[in-house]
Amino acid sequence: MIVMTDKTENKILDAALKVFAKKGYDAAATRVIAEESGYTEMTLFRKFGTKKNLFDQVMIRGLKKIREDFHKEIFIDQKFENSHDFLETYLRNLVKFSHDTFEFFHLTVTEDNAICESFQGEVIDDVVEYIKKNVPNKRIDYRTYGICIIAFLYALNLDKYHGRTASFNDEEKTIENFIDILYCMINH
Amino acid sequence: MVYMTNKTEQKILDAGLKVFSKKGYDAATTRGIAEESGFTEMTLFRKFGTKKNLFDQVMIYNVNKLTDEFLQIHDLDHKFKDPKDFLEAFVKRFAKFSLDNIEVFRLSVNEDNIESDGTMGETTNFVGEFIKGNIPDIKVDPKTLGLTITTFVYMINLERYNGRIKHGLYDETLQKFINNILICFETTKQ
Repeated sequence: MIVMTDKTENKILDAALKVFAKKGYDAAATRVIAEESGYTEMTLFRKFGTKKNLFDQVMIRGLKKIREDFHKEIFIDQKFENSHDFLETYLRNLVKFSHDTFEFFHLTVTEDNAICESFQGEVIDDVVEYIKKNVPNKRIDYRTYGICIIAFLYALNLDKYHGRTASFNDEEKTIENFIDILYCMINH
Repeated sequence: MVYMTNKTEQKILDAGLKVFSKKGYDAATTRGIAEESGFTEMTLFRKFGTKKNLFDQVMIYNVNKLTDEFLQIHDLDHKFKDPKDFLEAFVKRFAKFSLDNIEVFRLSVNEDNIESDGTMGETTNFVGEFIKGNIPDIKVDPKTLGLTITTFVYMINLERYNGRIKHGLYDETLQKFINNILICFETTKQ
């Protein structure tokens, strides 16, 4: 699979991610994406062929970059003093990471699309693998534990994306409380 | 609570919920909604005026209906001695309720409109208070526990809505989630 790295293509992909995330696949218009990118619609179609292929390329490029960044910044070989220390560090990193990659995250969750479905599975696997590595042999079901974290982060970022604060009006405190709950599950 | 009981309007509202939820406000068309309802676009405009007003009415009607249904959860109130039994019953009940109303939740969460800003916040607050009321000596923050539950349930319900997990796996996943939470409520043997 050739990953398009051309500068023009990257600008179009950046614009496409933004518009697809905001409007959803159906409502997103190639005309608007082209405008956002600074290029013409003709260039967009010349480079990507169809709206569907543009979307697929957004997802493919996005996942590749995310998994690279995840392994570079978060999935690092590190010694933690205890499991609470691990959870604190991991959650804080994930909060920041999910915020920075939210548009992509949002698309994998909301779009009814085969690529999105498989990508979501891969993201969950990565998140869970790091937990298993640092907090092994606990009684929890690891995969569900991972999904629980991802779901929380999704909701946290979604509220911010839409400019809402109702559920997370004291974000810092809510995150601390959530870490407590996660810790509780692995501390018995 | 008086709902619009006019049969025509009801059918259009139901179709509106389905199409707005599936396509999102922008991509949904009044033509598509009319088709889904079995009535003409002319009737739709005659009854509701504009696409925006139809959307607002869909939200108002469904959020009210949802609230009434949800309050029936009070029959779980103080019914269980063991907090673990309460939580298990609550999570399962809440999951079913949210799944039955997934389209409304999806709309509340995804559309940028003022009406829905209150819905999720209100649900979260209510759930937190309800948990606190039934587990008074709870060691973790009840509101955040409520959030943990509602966000997880929303995520697996979305999976179900998108056809990504089937019935059996859904039930299994929900049970594993409940088991994870119940670990927090185990009492250590003296």
